[in-house]
Amino acid sequence: MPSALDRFHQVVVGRHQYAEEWKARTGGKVMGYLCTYVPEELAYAAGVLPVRIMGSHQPQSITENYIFSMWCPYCRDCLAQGLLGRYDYLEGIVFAQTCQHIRQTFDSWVTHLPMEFSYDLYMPSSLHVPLARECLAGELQSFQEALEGWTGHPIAPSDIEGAVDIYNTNRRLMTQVYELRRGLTPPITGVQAMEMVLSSMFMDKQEQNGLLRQALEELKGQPGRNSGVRLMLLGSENDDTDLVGFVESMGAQIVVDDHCTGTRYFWGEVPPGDDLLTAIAQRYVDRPPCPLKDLAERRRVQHVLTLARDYQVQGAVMVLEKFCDPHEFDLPSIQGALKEADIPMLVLEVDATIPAGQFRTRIEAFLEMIEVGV
Amino acid sequence: MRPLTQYPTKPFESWGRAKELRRMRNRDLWSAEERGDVIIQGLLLEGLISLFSGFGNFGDPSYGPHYNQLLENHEALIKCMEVAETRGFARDLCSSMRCHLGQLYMDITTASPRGGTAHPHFVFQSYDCPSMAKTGQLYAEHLDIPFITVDVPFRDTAHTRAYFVQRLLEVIEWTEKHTGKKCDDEALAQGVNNEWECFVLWARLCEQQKAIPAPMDMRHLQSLRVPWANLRHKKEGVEFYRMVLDEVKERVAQGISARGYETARFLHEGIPPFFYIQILKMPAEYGAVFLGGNTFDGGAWVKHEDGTWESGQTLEEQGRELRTREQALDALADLYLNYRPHMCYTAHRPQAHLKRVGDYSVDGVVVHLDHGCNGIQTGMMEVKRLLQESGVPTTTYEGSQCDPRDFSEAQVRDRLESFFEGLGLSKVAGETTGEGEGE
Ligand code: SF4
Ligand code: SF4
Repeated sequence: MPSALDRFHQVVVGRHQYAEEWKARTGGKVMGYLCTYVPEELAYAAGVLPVRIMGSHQPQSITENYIFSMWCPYCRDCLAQGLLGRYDYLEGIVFAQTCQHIRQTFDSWVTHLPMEFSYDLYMPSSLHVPLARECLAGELQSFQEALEGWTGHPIAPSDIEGAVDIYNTNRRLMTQVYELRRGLTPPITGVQAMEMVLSSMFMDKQEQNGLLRQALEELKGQPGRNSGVRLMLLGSENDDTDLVGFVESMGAQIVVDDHCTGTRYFWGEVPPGDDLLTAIAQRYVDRPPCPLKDLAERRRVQHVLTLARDYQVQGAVMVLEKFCDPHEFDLPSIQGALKEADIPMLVLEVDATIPAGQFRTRIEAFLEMIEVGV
Repeated sequence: MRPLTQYPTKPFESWGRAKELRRMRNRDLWSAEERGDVIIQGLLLEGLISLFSGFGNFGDPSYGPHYNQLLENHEALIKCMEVAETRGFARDLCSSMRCHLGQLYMDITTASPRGGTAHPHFVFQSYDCPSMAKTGQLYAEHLDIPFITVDVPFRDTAHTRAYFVQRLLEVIEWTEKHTGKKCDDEALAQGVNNEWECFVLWARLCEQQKAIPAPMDMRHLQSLRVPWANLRHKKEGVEFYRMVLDEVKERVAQGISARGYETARFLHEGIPPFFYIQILKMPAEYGAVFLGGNTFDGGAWVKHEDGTWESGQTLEEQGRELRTREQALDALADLYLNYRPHMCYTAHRPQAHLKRVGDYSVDGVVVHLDHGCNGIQTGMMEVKRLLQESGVPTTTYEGSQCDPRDFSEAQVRDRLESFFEGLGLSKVAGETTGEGEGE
């Protein structure tokens, strides 16, 4: 039997195959989504498999007519995958309002790749005000009705309860794996951790929960390794395991992150509550915010500092997707806060479709600086 | 294209009033502190200005005289950008916001031309575009004053409406708390009425551009829009646009043209480079005009399924009377959720822009691809694609609305000249841009 971590890797590289096999096996529908603010558990409750749409990190020019070349390469890469037919198995697509770049991906997708089902979910931005939760709960109600119309059957409260339970378990188990990285000899690398979270975005969560339990068993008691400078990753969407592996190959270990392919995806559970949709809304309001949802107290800064302390971070690498306005706006605040906490930060401006080798010298210099305590 | 016919033209009579209004606005703004009025720091012109009408003659220094001076002084403008960049803000962020941030960090924004500094009570920013909301947050942090933002939903449903209206109510209560002033609900209702009417008048003004020859060009519209930006909640704003609309209707009736010829009718989509605003007069060198473009976004439009934008009705025409604070805010919500084109929710735009081409007898479209904008810019490539696929001559140019470093005059001129000449236009001898200037 392959180890759980191997299986996560297989799902990440074979994500399309996984979805197609799931479909063949269950006869269910697959729904792509474009942002981690999409309340997946509702789709799951409807018997639909939600999969996050992502790029391939290969150069492409197919989106030239649809998205301006000075928009983030990730959002263009995502659309390219659709236009290239790699997501032909999807029957639906959902977006939750966040960043304009990925909105453009959604708008172009529904224009050029019409599907049975598309839904544009209004996700409020002023999440610091209590009214946002009520608004989102109302939006979830509309989303639920739309899903019911699409799938042709009602979603019972017990379906939602079941889905929430599975999603909460998934979040809890991934948090437990992350906690293993707090120690000085983490038994799991940054690449493996990223693959775990990514695979969760592509898999049936119930199946992944089984693998997560297996992973915890397998990792328990493993000696782990102290393989260098303890780093945290921050910034834009980042599913570039090659980049993470490259950084780790140079004498660093990634121990935690604030990415939407990491903690921002699974941190925080749906709290108990009489009204299920309100409880789900609460979770999305409370989760570590993306910069565009962090408009009052700078919760992100607090979240990053807490993680840095809890995971004994020595340095941070900000992976900034080129033209990523949301994270560019937050960069000075995060950089300032980390500086005050004596945590040096390296900013890597990446293009999803360009290999990471170009950063070798800068990463080396950064790690050396931390090692000698400059 | 169209025959080279000479049409009459004449200067705008309303222009003198526009200048008076500008002076009035500046005077009021910089004396707000002496008067004991509220000073709000924000980029209010973009949204929800009448929300504060119940708080007297408030001032907002964002687009004060400094801003206009900067646009004319490229060196100073670039300095602003560099100051923002030195603080860690990326060069590819919205240039307009970098310009504001640079002014902020150089203490220009709040520096009164009469000497001294204005002290805003708080920052308010409507969340129409993410760049604005994040800039508002940075303003508040730097000035160390409270910040409040309201996101504008892109859909009008029971829960988004309730959220939006409740948030507007909260802003009023919050403002009362932070300024110690009571909101005068009658004045609020009047302000909302005024803002509504200005939006409607602006849409009707734009509709006059269907006439051949067009009574104005986009440069005129751009200039005439200034009072809309900062006085549309006031009775002076409404009176001004009633006057302008009458004048423009009269121009249409008399066949008065924007600039004397109309060999072709173009649209300019996207925010123009403000520091090189003369680009809007460039078609005139070929006897042609830009009829408008993003300037249409200042209108209250009924958006039909087929993409037609038709001017809406004022609250009075709708028979709607605003008696309470709640009614006023509901009417304001209606304007922003249904009638005003949402800045960032642009999925409908390609179809609407294509329809506009037919409705306004347009011969071609120029699309500005702004290097930093990710608000209004959303969907621009799809607009271009649909227009081209539909056989509408369309070209793009790359630039920036506020950063001269991202704009090459020679290249842009070359590109537009090739476009115009490719359509069979040739330069018109003599001065075609002097009369009817109005700016
Ligand atoms: S947040 Fe950044 S990385 Fe993500 S879609 Fe937007 S611009 Fe791209
Ligand atoms: S709409 Fe564009 S130019 Fe305007 S503030 Fe937003 S990003 Fe900047």
